[in-house]
Amino acid sequence: MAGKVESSAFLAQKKPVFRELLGELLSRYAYASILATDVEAKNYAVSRAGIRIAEDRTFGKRGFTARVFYGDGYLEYSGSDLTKEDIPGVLQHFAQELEKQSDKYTVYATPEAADEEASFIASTEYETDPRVLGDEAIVEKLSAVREKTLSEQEGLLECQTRYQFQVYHKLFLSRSRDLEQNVMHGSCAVVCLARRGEEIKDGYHSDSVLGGAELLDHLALCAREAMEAAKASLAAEPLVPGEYDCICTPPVTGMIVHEAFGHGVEMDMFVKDRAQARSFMGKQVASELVTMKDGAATDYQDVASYFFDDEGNLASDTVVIDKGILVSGISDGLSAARLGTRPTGNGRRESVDHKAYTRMTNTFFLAGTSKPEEMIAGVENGLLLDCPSSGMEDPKNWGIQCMVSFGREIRDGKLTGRVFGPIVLTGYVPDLLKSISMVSDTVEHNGAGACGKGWKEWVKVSDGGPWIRARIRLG
Amino acid sequence: MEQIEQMISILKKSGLDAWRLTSTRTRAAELYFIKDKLDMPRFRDMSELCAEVFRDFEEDGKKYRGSTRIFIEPGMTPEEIEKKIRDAAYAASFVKNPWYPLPEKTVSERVASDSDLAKMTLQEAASAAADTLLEASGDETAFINSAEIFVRRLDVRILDSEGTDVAYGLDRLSGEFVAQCTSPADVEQFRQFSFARADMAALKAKLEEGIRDAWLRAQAKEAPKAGKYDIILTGENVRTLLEFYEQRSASAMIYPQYSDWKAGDAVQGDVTDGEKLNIALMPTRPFSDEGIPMWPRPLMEEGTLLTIHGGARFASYLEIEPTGEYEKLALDCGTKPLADLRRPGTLEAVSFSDFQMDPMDGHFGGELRLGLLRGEHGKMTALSGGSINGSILASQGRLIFSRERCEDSTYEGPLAVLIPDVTVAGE
Repeated sequence: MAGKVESSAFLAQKKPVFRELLGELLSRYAYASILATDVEAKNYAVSRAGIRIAEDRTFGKRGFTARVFYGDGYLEYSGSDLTKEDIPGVLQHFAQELEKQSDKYTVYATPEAADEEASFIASTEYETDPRVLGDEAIVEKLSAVREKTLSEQEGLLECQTRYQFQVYHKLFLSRSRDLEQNVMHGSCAVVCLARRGEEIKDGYHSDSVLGGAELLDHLALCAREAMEAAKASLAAEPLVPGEYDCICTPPVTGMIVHEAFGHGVEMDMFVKDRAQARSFMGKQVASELVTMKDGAATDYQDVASYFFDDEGNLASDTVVIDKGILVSGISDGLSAARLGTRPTGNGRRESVDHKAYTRMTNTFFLAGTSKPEEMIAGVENGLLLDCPSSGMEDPKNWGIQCMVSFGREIRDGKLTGRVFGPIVLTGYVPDLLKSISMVSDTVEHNGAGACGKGWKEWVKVSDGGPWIRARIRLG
Repeated sequence: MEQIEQMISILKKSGLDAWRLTSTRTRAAELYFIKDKLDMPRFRDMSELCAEVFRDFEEDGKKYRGSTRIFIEPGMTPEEIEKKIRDAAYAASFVKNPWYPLPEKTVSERVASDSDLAKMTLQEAASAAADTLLEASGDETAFINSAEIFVRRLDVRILDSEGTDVAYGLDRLSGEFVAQCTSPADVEQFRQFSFARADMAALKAKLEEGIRDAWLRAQAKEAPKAGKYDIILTGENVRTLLEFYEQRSASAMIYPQYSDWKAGDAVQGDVTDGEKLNIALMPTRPFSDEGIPMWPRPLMEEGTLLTIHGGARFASYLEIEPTGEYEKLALDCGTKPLADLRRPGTLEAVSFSDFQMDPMDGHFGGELRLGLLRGEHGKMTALSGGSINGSILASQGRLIFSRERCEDSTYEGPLAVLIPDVTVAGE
């Protein structure tokens, strides 16, 4: 059942119409491009609430966006369908509405987009196509893991099992570019719930893949981890606020990489003077043990891997921090044009009808040389932080807000069995990153979650890294 | 034939046990600004046709109703649609949920949007908001750094196999902005807005408040000292706090036993030094996603739960009336002037990175972006950093609300709440 994701018949059929619109736009504007998408995505869930199978449009839908260069800037029009008969209406909307709206204001001057020649069709691979595996088999797998987990752990209120997949096809056309990509990715998660008086405590574990339903083989492991996490949350005591020596598990490292630092190097924030990172280029921002990467074309393939971004720029593998020194940001095409840099292939849209912003893809710290066991053994009095629950960026002031469900107490190099939580990590990002004194020799990454820009514009991302030891202010 | 009519015809002939069809057309004008310059104007015109397909079956004498949700894509042929419905019906047979009825039939003429936004073109409304934004741009030190303006016009029609056929229009002005202050420290404040009307005065007030808060944050030199504080939350953070009551009273939480609340329970517990909660569910659209007519309903009265709310499936299981899903809460309490809440020693949490309430365990908290510590004789110190970590279960009997009120598209009620003895992590 292994294979490569096939092209979309819909996009193939519509391509001549998109080409015709592109031709008309290029006869009126110096630059024009069209991004067209076709998406198939499904969510599955089994819980006490019942069974759910539903198609999903959270991270994409069928449609197109036309972008043109006009005056000193750009205009965009998005629609869900395009027929030959629709083309005059789209052209009229550009001329009579969007141009007029642009003319009313002083436009942020932006150079015309570079449009270097490129043409290819690329697809990702999978081992098991979830569409072939079928709804019945997927629900059976989710149900089986759920039932086994509930039967093994007495007192567990709930074990929710979830799986989702997305197959997307994107076509990008401009004067010099004709690109097509076909991508399949998926994620699974288990949430275990346990009651303590009026409180319901949860434990969560997830996994993701650039691929297909082969991921469901990881579900049982997710369930075991989620069950352990729920038990830990249930035993958690309130933490006395203060600064602690912390060992962060890879998921917590991933949250720090993504939320605390990654958002700060999104270069549309540089354009708006909203990121402190801009003034730290070439300077030390982290311990020399830290090297950080982001890219849709990195070695760590996950849910945010692709071949070109939503502005037709090719995916890349960007070193952001090199041995503690900030060496590069990541950027969408328009921000790169405004800053005079090369786009890094990070221009992403929540869906075809949304604006493109600079967004992270697969973001992580590279491995070090320490073993997790020796890292814990070296802590006299501290916490092993696990189970990230949420995080929020602050690129302007590099404040940290990350939350974890719990931390396990470490005394004299050993886990004592005491658990504290929930815990809020705060402080100044470079202080935390510079305090990193040990980095493990293994890296894990995960793309089950989604990333927002502020409180909206959700896109699939992955993050991760090694175990790290750092000094962190906790509350 | 329009795709929706074609779809209705196919669904009627499909032999399904039940179906629901929702057609949504969204047109939106969007303006993006960087400082006082236009970053980009955008327009979108998106149509979506979503079908819920139901299949009934019996096992061991028990009736089940399975369902799946599918989207009918633009450009699909009748043959493709028929195949997709057949596949969905087959998938529904693996969804072994206890049987439940669809909501009672509702038929209505299209309910037009009653917003004054509906009288304007999308571009006119977006321009009016942009003009308000540019007028309120502050001074050289404190100003609007960037903004996004969205004017959305929705046309929704909901039909089902029981004969429900309702439609409505909806207009919304929403967006976000960042206020920046460059001296004595270079800081920013992020704000969102959402209005059901073309309320430019409210937008102007929100912009000015954002600029003022950015200025205040620029004065903040340190984080609060770690300890216990009486905290004041304001505006949208009061709304977030109420999510605890909103979500624990949802049938989707009660049926799977994530919440054990029942109508008539004194869910606020013992109210000792605080105010008893009176909360109403307020409609923001004439019909729910299932076509259920929506009107104001009491959620809690004097701290007692009156209504369990939600859609048809869980309502049927719990043998209660389906209400549809509400997005707006109205809180009817607040006896003290805000000035009285701002007593010496209180920490007013003006803004967070991301203030969160976990309805499962009742914990709330977030990293403080701007806090105002009240001192004696009206003295006030701006603080930034540190975090708040509290429990509504520990605090709900001692909540005191302000007499001053505020309103947006998801909340109307007291502007502020005082929560005693909350743990703050800081210096």
